[in-house]
Amino acid sequence: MDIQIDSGDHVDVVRPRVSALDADNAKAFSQGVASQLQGDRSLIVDLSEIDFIDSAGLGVILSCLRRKNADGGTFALCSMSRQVASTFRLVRMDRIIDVFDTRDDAVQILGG
Amino acid sequence: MIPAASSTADRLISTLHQLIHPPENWQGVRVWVRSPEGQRPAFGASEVEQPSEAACEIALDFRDGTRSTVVFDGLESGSSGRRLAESMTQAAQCLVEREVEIENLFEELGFSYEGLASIHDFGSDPTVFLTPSRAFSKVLERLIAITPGLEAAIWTVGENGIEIANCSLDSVPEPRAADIGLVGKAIQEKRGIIWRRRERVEARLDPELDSARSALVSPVVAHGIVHAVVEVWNEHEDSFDSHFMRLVEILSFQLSRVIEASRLHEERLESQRLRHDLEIGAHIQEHLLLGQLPSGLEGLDVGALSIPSQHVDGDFFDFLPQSPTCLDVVMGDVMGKGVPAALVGAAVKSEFLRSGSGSPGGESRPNAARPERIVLDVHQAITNRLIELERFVTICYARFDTRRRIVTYVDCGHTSTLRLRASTGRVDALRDECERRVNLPLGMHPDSVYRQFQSTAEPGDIFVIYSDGVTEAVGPGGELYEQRRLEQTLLEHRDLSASDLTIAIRESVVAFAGADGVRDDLSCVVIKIEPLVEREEIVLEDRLSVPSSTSQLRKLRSFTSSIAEREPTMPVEILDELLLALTEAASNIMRHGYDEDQDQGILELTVRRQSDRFVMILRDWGRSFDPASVQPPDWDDLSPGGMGVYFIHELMDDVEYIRGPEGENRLTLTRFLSRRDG
Repeated sequence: MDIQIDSGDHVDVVRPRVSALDADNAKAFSQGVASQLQGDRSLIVDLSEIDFIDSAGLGVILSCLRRKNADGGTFALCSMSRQVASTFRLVRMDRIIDVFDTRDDAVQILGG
Repeated sequence: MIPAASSTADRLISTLHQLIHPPENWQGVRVWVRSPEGQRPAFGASEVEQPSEAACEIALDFRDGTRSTVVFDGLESGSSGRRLAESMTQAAQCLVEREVEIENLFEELGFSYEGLASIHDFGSDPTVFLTPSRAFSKVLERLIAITPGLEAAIWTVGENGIEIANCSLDSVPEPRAADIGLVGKAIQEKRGIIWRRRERVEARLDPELDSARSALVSPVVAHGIVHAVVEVWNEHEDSFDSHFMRLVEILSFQLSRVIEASRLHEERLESQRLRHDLEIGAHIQEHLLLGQLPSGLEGLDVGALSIPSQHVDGDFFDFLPQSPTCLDVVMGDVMGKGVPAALVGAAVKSEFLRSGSGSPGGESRPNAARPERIVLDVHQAITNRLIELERFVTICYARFDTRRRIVTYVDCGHTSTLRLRASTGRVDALRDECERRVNLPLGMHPDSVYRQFQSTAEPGDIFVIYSDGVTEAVGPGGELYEQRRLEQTLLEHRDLSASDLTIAIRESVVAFAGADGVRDDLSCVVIKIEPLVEREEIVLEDRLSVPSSTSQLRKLRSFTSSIAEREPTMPVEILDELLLALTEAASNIMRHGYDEDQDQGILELTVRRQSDRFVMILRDWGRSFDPASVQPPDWDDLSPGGMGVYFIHELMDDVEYIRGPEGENRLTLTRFLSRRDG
């Protein structure tokens, strides 16, 4: 899976370059960001190119949150499309994960 | 007074009069006696009346060589009336012949006045006493008056031994086994015995005869059965001789007449009760147990028949239309017979009507209660009462949905519904498909649970719901009609309409068994699924088959989007929901239905747009996977496991899974374009 990874001083931003995060590629995404999940640096997942997510996609995001939190790092999402946002709301995951409208907002808050 | 000698016909008439008792119970019955001297009215008939064609005639040959015929008119038709007439005339013949015997005895005896008086207390009319117990006490009174110093007892014989009916002693002897002492011997040998202490010492003498010098016992026999024993004894002298024995024998015989008349009276009452039961039962059946054929259905041709048996059963069926394209059929069979069973059947049926037909009116009811819920409701309403009544009821509850082409079936121990499948031309039993989802009959256990299962109901399929009266009809050789004959009849007459098919089934059963071989009610409902003339135009329908691989999920989504996005466009929010539900359902099938990474599996998606809904039908031939069987997700520990299924149910208005024949799984997801409330 093509994942763009930008590492700053204290924060990593990963951006899956696919239009869907679903049962077909959720595992690949998890493997692609494995090294960013370790350590206490902040991690932002930029969902700007994702216009479809399913329960497998939600599952892998949830797993990222848990692993990052376990290492003492901060985890956040940004740039959700309409479908992704409503799917998060459906299982109330928007309440347990920090979500920012734009990547800049996220970097500013988490990196500062 | 000793009656003057009279003809056999005279005696027969007067004896019949005694047996037809009390007369008010025999209203409408007319009896004649036909003898060499001509035909004479005996009861309820006048000189000029003639028997009708339905009259029943019974000929009697007497020992003196004469023949008389008794003609009964107005008895209830059928075997019970005939049986009653036969037992009456046999009893009458027996009485007439014994009467002649008694008169001969009188001549021979020239008996003492007391003896004659005691006999003539009865006169020739044993029914003066009405009941056996009054007759017993009269006989006893007379016996001990014949000679001073006599004691007497009358024993009745029951299944568990003998007990005193009347006794001259103050301390009444205890009940005891029927094989003790002289009384026991009289019962065993069915003859009278005279005993004298000086002549014979008995090993096990009757306790009441401890200080008797002599005794006499005589059995009261009717129809070869000892009903009672007359016992007389004397503590002072040897008072019994053959004359006395004759006297007691005559009294015993007269007692047997009383018993016989009383038995006939009971039989008559029973026969009236039975006829009354039948009338009530037929009424209940017609008005309460059988449903009216529904009208205004689309895609369903329905026929029904019921032949009540001679005795009433508790079979019932009814129809509960849920919408013009959705019909519920319930059939039940109450264990047991007669009016009580019919009443239970009527009560259970009315519970189903109450529970199964929620809101009235012909409106489509997409939210009708699931059949298993309806059965559970009825169970909760009545099972405790059924348990109290010690009744249980087998039920078949079937919902035929022609729009979804689904039959939903709750099997509570009823005979299995048959289905003739148009696609294969074969008949199968629905129960064979239900994977152990057979439930207990209603009334068996208060904590029963009821589960439904579903299968396909395609145009051309024929369903037959029936009671076991059909398959258990008995042929002349004693063999049963059985399911295989019903299957054969169904195949042979598959082209008939539903109601003609029920007639064909009835004719086949009756031809096999004859009218006498149909023992139970014969109930049968035939449902033919017909192609549905779509009222709602299908705007668009298309189909796509893909290999079972998650790499195909994207393709399934874009295929569905392409149909959803055509004019008239639907809101993007609805499309989002459709695509999510579709992805979850398809990936579940790929992961659970087929082995993961197995590309030979095929998944077929049919997408249908109607004016008011969007339908996605997923078919596969992998392992059975019912989304309803997955537990809802645990919100404290969110994991993707149950989440997908949660999405499907949350987003779609209707989710229907069917394990069809030949390994087909069919999952139908429906989203209405404008949501209904409730």
